[in-house]
Parts: sequence; C-alpha cells; structure tokens
Amino acid sequence: MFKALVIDDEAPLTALIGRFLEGAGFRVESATCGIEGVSRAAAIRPDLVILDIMMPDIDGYEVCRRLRADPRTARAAIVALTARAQPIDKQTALRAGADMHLVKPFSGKTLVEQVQELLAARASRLRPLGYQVTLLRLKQGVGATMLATNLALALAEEKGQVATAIDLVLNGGQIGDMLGYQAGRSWVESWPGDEAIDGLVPHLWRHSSGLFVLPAPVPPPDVAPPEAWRVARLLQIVRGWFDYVVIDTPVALGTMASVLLESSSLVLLLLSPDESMRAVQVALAAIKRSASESLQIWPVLNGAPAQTELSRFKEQVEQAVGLPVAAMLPWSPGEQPVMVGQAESPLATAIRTLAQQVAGLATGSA
Amino acid sequence: MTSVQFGRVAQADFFTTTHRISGQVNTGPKPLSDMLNDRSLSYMMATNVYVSRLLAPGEIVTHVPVAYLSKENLSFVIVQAREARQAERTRFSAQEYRALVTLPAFEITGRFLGPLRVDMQVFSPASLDPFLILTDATAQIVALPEMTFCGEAILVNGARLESFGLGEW
Repeated sequence: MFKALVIDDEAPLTALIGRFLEGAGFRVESATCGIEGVSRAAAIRPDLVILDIMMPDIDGYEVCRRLRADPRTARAAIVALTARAQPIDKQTALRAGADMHLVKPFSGKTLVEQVQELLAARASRLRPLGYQVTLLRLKQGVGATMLATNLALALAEEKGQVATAIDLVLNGGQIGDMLGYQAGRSWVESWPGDEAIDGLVPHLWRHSSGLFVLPAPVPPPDVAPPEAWRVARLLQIVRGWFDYVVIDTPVALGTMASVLLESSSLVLLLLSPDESMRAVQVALAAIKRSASESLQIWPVLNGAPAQTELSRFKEQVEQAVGLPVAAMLPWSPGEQPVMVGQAESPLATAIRTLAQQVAGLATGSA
Repeated sequence: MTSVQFGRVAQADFFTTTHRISGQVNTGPKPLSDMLNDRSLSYMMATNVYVSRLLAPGEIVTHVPVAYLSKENLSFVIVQAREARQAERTRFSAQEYRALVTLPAFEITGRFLGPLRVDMQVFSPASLDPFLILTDATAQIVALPEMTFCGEAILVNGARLESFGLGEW
C-alpha cells in the first residue's frame, strides 16, 4: 500500500484530499504546515507527497527543496497542488523538485488519476536496489575521480532519479573538494555501524545539482581503513536509498575488494595510454574472479592529449581484453566538475553519453 | 487559511508595476469585478496573501494574513471567469474584439466585449467601469517578455491604461 502525506494549511481541504486518496487505496497522513510536513515526511518516508504551495510558515517550494535534500524523502513523488496557476508557478515548482503541478480547484477523480499515473511511471523506473557503478584504476593520475564525479553529476541530471557519489579513496579523496565541499566531516570518523539510513544522513552532503555525496575525510584520518563489513553495510544502505551509486576507489582496494565487486552492477575500468596490456589483463582476471557473473565491465580510456593516440590504444585494449571500450574521453587539462562548469564541452558531452549508456543498462533499455 | 468566512471567496492574482500579490477576497454574493468597480471603496481587503516581486514572480517573498490593496494602484487582476461580470449595457449590445492593452510595465492581449460601435465616448469615465474585462487573456511583463500570465479573465485598471488597441476577432 502506498503511503501518502498531504501537506496543506487548509484543514478541510487536507481532509478532503485524504478521503480521495484513501478511497484509492492509499494510507494517508497529513500535516498542516510546511515545517511539520518536512518532519512528518522524514519520519514516515511517504511514497507520495501532496503539497500546497501557499503556506504561512515555509512555502511549498521550500518544503519541496528540503524533501529533495534529505535522502529519506528525496525519492518521494511530489505533487504541487496550488491555486498559483501560472506557467511560471509550474516552472518554479518543477525547479524546486516537484514531479507534477496541479491547479486548485481540482476534481478528486483527476487528482487520483494523475497521482496513480505518476506513481506507476516512477515504479517502472525504480529498482529495488540502486545501481552501483564502481570506478577502478590500475594507477594514480588517470582521471578516475574526475570521471566518478562527473558521471554521478550526469546521472543525477536524470529526472526523478536520485544519485550519490561515494568517495572511498579514504586517504585523500577529491570528490568533495572538486564539488566545493568545505567541511571535513567524514563517515570514517563518525560512522558507528548504524543499522539505518538515519545514521548516515548527517554525513551525506547535497551538491546544488541534487547529487548526494559522501566525501572522503579531510584531512585523511590516521586510523586503519574501515573493515569490509562496514563498507558492505554502507553500500547496502545507500543502494536502498539511491537509484545510482557511483563509487570512486583507491588503486589498492585491500579488504574492500570483494565487498565492492560483489555489490557492483557495473565496473568502469579507467585506463590511460601508457598502461601495460599485461597489467590490464591481470587486473581484469582478478576482477572476474571476485565478482558475480552478472557484473558488467566496461573499459574507459582517458588521458591522451591526441585522439589518434587514444584510437590506437582502444584497438590494443579491445584486442588484449576482449571487451569493447565503452568510452574514450577527450583530453582535458586539470580535474574539474565539467558537468557543472563546462556542460557543453567535449568531455562533458562524452561523459553524458556514457551516463546515458549506464542508465540504459540499469533500466534494461540498453 | 483556517478562519471561517461567510460569502464567496475569490482567489486572485493582483499585479502592480512592482509586485504580484496572490490572495483571497471575500466578495459576498457578488463577483470580484463588482468589488473592484465599486467606486465608493478605494481599498479592498485580501486575506491569506502571498507576495512575489515582479522580477521573480514565481518566488514567494513573504506571506501576510491580511493586506489592504489600493485599487487605483493595481494594474490588473487575474481571476476565474465567474469573477468577471460584464456591465448590463455591454451584455445586451456587444461585439467581441481582439484587444491589445498597454500599461506601465505590461502588455495584455485578450477578447474584449464592447459596443457595436467603438468611439471616444466609450472610454469616458461615465460609460466605462474602472476595470475592463478581457477574457482568455494573457499578460506579459514588458521587461521579461518570456514571462506570461494567463487567465480566464483579466480585469485591467482603466486608469492605468496607456493604449487600448482593438481589432476584429
């Protein structure tokens, strides 16, 4: 049974909407102001939120932004139901994170039909567990962090999908730094092995693009790496809450290796032209040994200023490992979140194409 | 708004040259246009009011439970069709025109129901209600032409008019 939360300051209207939804089989709760709505939503984690826009404490747009910023409520279907009926009002609601904008006055039948349609469309896209993309590299300096960050940003662009980037390069990961994360809080220092998402929420940072990030600790902690069970638990929780989980990893995976590979849906093996083919073959064999048979492995090439060099390397890789290269990333100086600052650049375009391939594979449409 | 009100409550968007004010007006048994055209009252009380700036008309900057609106300073009001009642004389001898109205900061297009012959006399204060009714109307902010506001009816403040263009429908 779907859980619905109706947030509206007009109590009679809230009750009326509740009756319409209950009649359609929803379990309904209500809140009579924005702040109460946000806290009720975090507590009950509704599948659907019917949200008034004009409310006296915080308006519906702000409620929407807060729901999207909390991983516990980020995946809820949100319907803005408002007397503000202008095109700009619809734009503002959708920009704030609503999935649909309906205008008051409304008919109960239309409301129920529309929300059922919305939930059915979302259900067809959602997976029981998030799609985990793990980036592996054989050495430093091949642009893995750049790719992890930008790929996660590109996946977060997909409407109605929630993505997270997890930085497991615990001794100096750069994802948070690339995205402008200032605080140095880390899950390694404060992760006590909680059994629920609530324990993780304070450590997830939301970038302005909508991407959730679990940054690596800054500065790196002087402690032993987390045990494999902690990493496994972390991945289990985040995959339960996000549609896409993109993980940047260190060169040496250590005890994390089997946990990471077992939970991965797709491994992107990032290679640069000076890679030894022998090393690539050995790495690939090791990955296949630790992973399930359903794991997809896509080589991705990066790091060559000349396209001809990259093309030659592509042939070598495909011959050596027997896998098609999924993407050749155009060389770009420096490491930056191109999806944000240079969204039309060749590198951003290539990463967006790769993200579409990943999404296609994840939804079974590839 | 949780207080009990008697009479009809009209939800409307009131526009001035600087703000968009969304609120409810208790109009009693009459449509909102009658209240706007009532020359005996200069102000009108709106409740549950949300204010947006015209340069960002989607964002709500503040909420107040009650606001008194100066009718003469309103540029136009967007309402549902039932809140716009044509004057008796217009209803019985009328032709539909395509209208383009300009007023400070706005352009508005829509259908105008006017007399069969339009002349200067039509625009005299004696023969014209303070607020003209355009139906199926669209308003644009001149400085942000991509920003449009549509309504079943737009009540335009005649005192703010700069030009009133009419064409055949």
